[in-house]
Formats: sequence, C-alpha cells, structure tokens
Amino acid sequence: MNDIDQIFQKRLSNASVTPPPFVWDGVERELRKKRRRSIFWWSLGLGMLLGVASLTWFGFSKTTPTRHTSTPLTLTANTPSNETHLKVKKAPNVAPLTPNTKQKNTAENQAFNHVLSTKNGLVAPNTSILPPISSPYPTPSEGLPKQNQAGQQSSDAPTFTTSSRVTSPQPLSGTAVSDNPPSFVLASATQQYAALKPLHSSFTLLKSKMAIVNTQKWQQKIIRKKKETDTKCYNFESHANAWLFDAYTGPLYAQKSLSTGSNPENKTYHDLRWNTESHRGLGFTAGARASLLVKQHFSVGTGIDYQQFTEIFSYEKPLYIQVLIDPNTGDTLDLDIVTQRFKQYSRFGFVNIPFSAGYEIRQGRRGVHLRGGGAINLLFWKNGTMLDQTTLQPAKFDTQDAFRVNAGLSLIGSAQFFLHIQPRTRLFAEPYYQRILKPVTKETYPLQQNYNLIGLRLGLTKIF
Amino acid sequence: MNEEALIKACLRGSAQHQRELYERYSGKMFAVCLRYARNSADAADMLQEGFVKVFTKLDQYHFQGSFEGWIRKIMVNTALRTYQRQRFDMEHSGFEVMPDQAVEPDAIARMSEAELLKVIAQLPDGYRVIFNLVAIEGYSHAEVAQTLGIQESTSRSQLTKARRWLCDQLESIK
Repeated sequence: MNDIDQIFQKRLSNASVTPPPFVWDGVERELRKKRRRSIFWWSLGLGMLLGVASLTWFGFSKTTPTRHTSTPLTLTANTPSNETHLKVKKAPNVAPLTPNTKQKNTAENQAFNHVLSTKNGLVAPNTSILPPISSPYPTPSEGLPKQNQAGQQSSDAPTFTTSSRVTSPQPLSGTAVSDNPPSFVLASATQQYAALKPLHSSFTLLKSKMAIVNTQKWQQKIIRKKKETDTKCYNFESHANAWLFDAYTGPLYAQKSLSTGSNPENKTYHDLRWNTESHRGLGFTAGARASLLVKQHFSVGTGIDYQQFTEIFSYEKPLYIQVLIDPNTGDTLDLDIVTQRFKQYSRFGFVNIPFSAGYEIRQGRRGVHLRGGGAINLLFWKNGTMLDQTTLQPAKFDTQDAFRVNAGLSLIGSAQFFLHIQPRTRLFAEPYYQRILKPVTKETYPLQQNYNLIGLRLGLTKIF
Repeated sequence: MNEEALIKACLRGSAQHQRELYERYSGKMFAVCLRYARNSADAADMLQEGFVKVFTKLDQYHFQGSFEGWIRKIMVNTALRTYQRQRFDMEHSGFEVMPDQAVEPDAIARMSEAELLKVIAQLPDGYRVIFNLVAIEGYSHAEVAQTLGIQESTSRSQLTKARRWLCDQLESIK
C-alpha cells in the first residue's frame, strides 16, 4: 500500500465530525413518513384482501333458489312460425331402472329421436330424449312414463301435452326453471312411432342425436346463466321502487390551481408559492349515501362524505455559513453555506353533504348508475404551512388569514359500475369528478386557490 | 445501555433509543460521508438517507460482525448511489504507470482531520470515490470495478491520479 494511502487511512478511518443538528430532524421526519406509508399500504392490502375474501365468499357460496320451485312449471319455446307450448310437470321420484326397462326405453328413445328428426327436421328445446353427457340426473329415458297396454299413461307418470309439431330450438323465455331436467312424454310423437318405424335409417339417427346433444349443452348453459342471474340479482321488475344504501371508501386525487385573479401585482408571491408547493395532492374519500330508486331506473340520493388529501410544502433557506479555520495559523481556509430544507405536509379535509339525481341501467347482475349533482360543504379544515403573503417566509395556515371557513358548493358527476353478489347486495366502483365552485381562499387574500377532485369510490350497496 | 439492547429497543420502534443510536454513530458516519461528498450539505443529505436506511433495515442485522461496520457499509453504499445518480463520469479508462510520489509524513501529521477531509473533498468526483474505497475502506480494485461498473484498469488509473493530485495539493499547502 502506498504511503499516502496509509497516512490517510490512519487519520481518517476513525475520524468523527459532529453533523449539523437538522440531520436528525430529517431522519425523524423520514421515519415518520415511512411509518405512515407502511400503515397506509397495510390498510390498503388488508382492505383488498377483505374485498377479495368477501367476493369469493359471496360469489361462490351456494344459494338455494326459493322462488322457482313451484310445479307445474310452464316452459315456452317461441318459434318464428309455430309456437309450441309445452306444459311440463316435474317428474316425481323416479324409480331406478332395471336392465330390461333401460334397454326397452333406449329403443323407444331412439325411435323418438328418429320421429322428431324425420318428421319435423328439428327438435324442441329441453326435450331431453337422449341422456345428457355424464349428467348426475336420471336419464330422460328413465323419466319416460310407463304406458299400459291401452296406450294410456300410468297414474304416476308426469303429464305432458303438445298441441303442435315441434320446431327449431330457441332460447327459453320461461320465467322459471327446475333443478332437475324435466322428463316427459311426447304424446303425439309416440302415436306416430309405429307408422314411421320402417323409415328408420342409421344416418338420420346419428344426425338427430348430435343435434339434440348440442341443443342440450347450449340450453343448459342458458339455464345456468339465467339461474345465476335470477338468484343473485334483485328483482327490480316486481319492486320498481327501492332504497339503496351505499358505504364506500377509496383514493382521491386533488388538482390545485393558483391564480392572481385580476391583480397581476401579486405575481411574485404567486410564483414563490407555486414553486414551494406541490400542485397536486393525494388522499382518500369515505362516506355513506342513501338513494331512492323509483320506476326501476331513476334515483335521487343524499348522504355524508369525507375527503382528505395531502400536499407537500418544500422550502430551502440559508441557515448559516460554515467557516473552516486553520487552528495553527487562524487563517480562514473555507466558507461553506449550509442550507436548511423544510419539507412539510399540508392537509385539507372536507365534510360534505352530497345530493344527486341518477339513472340506472342494468343487464343481468351488472349495471351502471350515472349520477349528477352537487355537495354542500359542512366543514373545511386545513393544517399546514405556506409562505406568508407579507413576510414571504414559511408560516402555519392558522397564523395567516388566507382560507375560508367553508368551501361552499361543489358540482359532482359520477358513474357507478356495480355487480350484484346477492339479490340485495352489490359491490361497486364509482369514479367521480368534483369541482369546488369557489376558491377556497378568502376574497381579501391576494391569490385564488381552486381545486378539482377526482376520486374512486369502492364500496357496497344494500337494497331495501 | 449496551449495543445489543440498544438495537433491540430501536427494533421495537423506540424513538428515544433511535436518537441514542444516532448520536452514538453519527459523528463517525458523518466523517465517512464527508469523504465521499463534494460539500457538507451533500454529506448531511447522505447521512440522513443512510440513517433512515439503518433504522428501516435494522431487522436485517443479525448481531453477527461489527454493528459499526454494518452501518458504515450502508453509508458507503448510500454515498456511492448518490454519485451514481449524479452520473459522474470517470475521465477515461486506461492504465497509466506513474511513479509514486513521496510525501513527507510530517506535512500530513501537522494537518487536522478537518483539513484532510477538506483536501479529499476537493478531489474530482471519480478520484475521490476510488481513493476512498481503495485507500481508506480497503476495497480491492476488482470489488470497486464491480461496484461502480467500471474496468479494473480504470480504478487503478483513477487511484494513481488521485494520489498524485493529493500529493500536489499537500505540497502546495505545505
């Protein structure tokens, strides 16, 4: 190692110099900020976790349909030219089949398929002639009623009538479905079975089977979707008027504008403030709202809303001049100007009474609720630091006569996107825009400070 | 209060003990920062940033090895990151063979630590960082090259120039 290295290492490796006192203040401030941030992120994480957990819980929990189990059920298949009305009775307990009966029914089943496909070319929806693939339910053939010799249906067989020929498959528009696939007898088709038996061909049989299987899959999908919608969505058709209670919270972004108004003499002060303050703030919103939904789609509402956001005030000012003096000679070796940096957080809070009118559009479980209205400010609080208009030095808000006591009226517009997770419960995300109409500063203050707020309300609605 | 108890108290978030720990090590660490910084304001910033890291990463210290060494390493890394952010450029790569200049030890012995720090602070950024890392902290050129993302030959070259620059400065002061 070089001599000079050794000398410097020996002298400086354990050197100690007292740092300026403001360093510790800075450390403390940063630690506080980090602690606050970590609390915020933990709360956000916990909130999201709870949200996901509740979504999972409500979304996947089994709900028992109670409104859709009455018998007999009526399914209506609408066709363009011919309308077929099938009165279907849910099959009572179906006895397990013996191998013989199963074989017999399979033969009948094939015949039915053939009849339907050859006679009409197409098959009716939900005419479960062939067993669905790996269905947990009794096969349709198992559900076929037994006939006595005279061709009469047995007394315990489900009744079924058809008044016209069966035509193309169509989505079901019936208001209800049963849990198990209904089984029934196509009476008219049965009567023609013997006459058409000689025309049996294996090609048409296969074709008709494929058509039926496809129809069943498609049909089951529609039924599942409808069942899901019916069991998780409030029936607004039967309850045209309803109360909606919202509870929400979410992030908030505040955009500040600062102007000299009609007095350009204050430009210097304006620029000083503009350069020492952040132009935007981040915060949160939380609140509760009650709305009356009338005629299924229109709403009026009010509630209570809290918004808070934080801005940063940063300022540098010369603190002292550091002089380096040679102890031996007393000569001044160096002058160093040390600046002190302020970085403080200014907070603004608003308690508002919002009022709104809205219109709701729904499709299945989802929908959009558009709202427009305003908010009356009840409380406007602020705590922070900014440059004083006379001294141009940092000063607390409360020592300056700058802000109004009340922020006044705001205009608000929002679009709420919701999803029913229960018939009477919705989750929603609602982006909104709010414009505070008047400056939050007093008329006597040389500058005008305005705010536009953009937020996202995340919450839950209960319907009563 | 012994060091271990103090660290554990800081881990529990006690502000009073954090202050105590800061006071115990801030002098030495400020000297470290001054060696790397261009001026005392930059050094104060480094010290603040370094101590914030110390308190937030304190749970990563497993009571193995010197605690002072652990803090010093954080300070050095903070200083290096500060200068990497400022994108200081090494003047050029390439190794120059230059004879070591003899320095009269008494000339340095007569100087105070503050004066020595002042001399180091006047070194160009590239020279200063490498001189600190190699000559005072004891890192090898390979480690410095890896840390700063430069070639080993550049590190050697910068060190040689730093030494010559320091000798010239000390001669002129003398």
